[in-house]
Amino acid sequence: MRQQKIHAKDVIFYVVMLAFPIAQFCLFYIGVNGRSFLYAFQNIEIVQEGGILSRRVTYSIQPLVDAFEDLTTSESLQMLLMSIVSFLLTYFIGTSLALFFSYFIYKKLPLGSMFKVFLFLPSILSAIVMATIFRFFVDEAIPAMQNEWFHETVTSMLADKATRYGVVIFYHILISFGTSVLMYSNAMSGVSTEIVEAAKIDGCGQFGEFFHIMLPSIFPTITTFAITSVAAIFTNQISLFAIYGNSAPVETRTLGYFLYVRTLASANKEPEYPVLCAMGLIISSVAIPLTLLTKYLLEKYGPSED
Amino acid sequence: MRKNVLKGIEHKKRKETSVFSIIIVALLLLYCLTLVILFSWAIIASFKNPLLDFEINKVGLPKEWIFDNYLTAYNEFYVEAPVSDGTTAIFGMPMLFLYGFLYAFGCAFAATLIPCLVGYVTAKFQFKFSKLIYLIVIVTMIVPIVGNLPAEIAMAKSLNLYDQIWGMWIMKANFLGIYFIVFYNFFRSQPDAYIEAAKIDGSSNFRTMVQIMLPMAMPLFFTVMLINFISFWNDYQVPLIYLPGHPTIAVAMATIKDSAYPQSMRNIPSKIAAAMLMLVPVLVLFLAFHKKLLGNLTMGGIKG
Repeated sequence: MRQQKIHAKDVIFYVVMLAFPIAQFCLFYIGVNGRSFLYAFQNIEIVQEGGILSRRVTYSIQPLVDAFEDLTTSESLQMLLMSIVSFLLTYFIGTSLALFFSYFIYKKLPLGSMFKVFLFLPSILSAIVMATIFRFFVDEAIPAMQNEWFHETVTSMLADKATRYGVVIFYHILISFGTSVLMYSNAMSGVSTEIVEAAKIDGCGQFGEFFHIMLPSIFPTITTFAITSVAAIFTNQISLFAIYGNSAPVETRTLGYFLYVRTLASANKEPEYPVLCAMGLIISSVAIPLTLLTKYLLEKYGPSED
Repeated sequence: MRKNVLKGIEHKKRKETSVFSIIIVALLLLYCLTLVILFSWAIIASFKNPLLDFEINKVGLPKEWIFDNYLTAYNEFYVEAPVSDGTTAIFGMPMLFLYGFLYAFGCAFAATLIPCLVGYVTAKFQFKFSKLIYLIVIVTMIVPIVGNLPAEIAMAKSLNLYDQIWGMWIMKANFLGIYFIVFYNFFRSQPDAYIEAAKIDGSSNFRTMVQIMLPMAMPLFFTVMLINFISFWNDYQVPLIYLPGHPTIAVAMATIKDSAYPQSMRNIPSKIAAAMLMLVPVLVLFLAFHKKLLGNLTMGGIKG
């Protein structure tokens, strides 16, 4: 309703309708992030005074110092490295495959509908069920097959140090296609058929159509996924919690996994919140500029539809 | 000569096209085969006798197809969780399913209704504040904030929402995220003429929204609610933290998959049978509504 005059009853309706959502936003976005910021400068002690437990709060930069020390140990730096390597592997392999698959579905080639259902299936099935089945299959069935068919006794690939990270990444990519394929193929459907036809007349094959027409045309959607992926570098658990619970092998752990497991263990220990929030603050201060820089670079130097 | 060159180009093009398609098809077939093998193995394993069959025959067909694992999973799948009086209680599968359903349905409804209402109001009332809300949604989607989970737990505890299923409904009732954009674009694309006609007929803003505009958005509302329901049904990490005394079926699965308790659920075929039971509601929904789920939810680039 593009209004010339603002009526009082419209304003009342507007305010009433937005009252709860805005209050919720103030509490659970602004309030939570504000509280998280404050925690990063608090020292919380639970002390016993006269037989009663009370909470004593003092302010200092000690949680930030402790968090910085925690994040710069060799173990944490290894987790940072794994977060970045995991992002690069899952993003570039996963996105390339998702784009190829989406193109196939967009072209409505034979079996396209069946492939679409299969690609979407892991997104609707429970992550914990998928991970449980995958883990039992790798732990039990694969060694049994190798023993039966090749007479080799092998340990599970999820237990073997040489293979476990590769298997985790394989699984994470395997379950990651649903939303991206759906979005990319829908975006491809929105590309003007006239452009595609014109390219065909100019002698452009499927390969050329994919690289020279489709990719530039759906680049805004690719950019959106790229930005969310970069933003998730520091929170991505690469399915480690689903597969291993809270005992994932040290060399496979990412920062996202580490933060979740540590928060889970500290859910009822408020004195540990400040260091966790300080870690979040330090990581966010890297993640936010990195995400905005990625957005800027992709928009400035990415291909255009022209 | 020219003809030969053109023929050569045509041949090369056809060859290039077919190789490109063949590679994609091969990859897709490999993908489908991986999932089929994985689930076929799991289904077959769930029908094997744990000791007499599965332990010695992990790959082949069952010597005898038995349903006992499903009965064991239904009757003896339980977790212990703390209750309000400080003790622990046992939660069996019916209770786990009930908590899972209450959590998923309530959160899905709240997480669909609020973006829908806010999307409608901001799309149809072009006040400056509407533009601010749109900007807030875009900014919060782009800006990643890490590590605020402890503060959220503290907030939930201070508002007495912690370990309450209805508390989770309130926490999930926010308008941030992609579904606000979806509803906003939907309502923006609806002509204002409907609202103006209703106004002339004396309809209030609320009545116009409830009786005219929201029914138009019902198919979209249903699709978003379905996606949200599946996502919350499968979610185990959030209830694991926020609902320690109300374990959902997904949380129980995450707890039991690595646990030696309960003893009757220690074997793999029973654990797989429990996992299969957990899939049933989602599979039924998927089979009934797969066209809606695989429909046209499109997302463009983020501007701003």
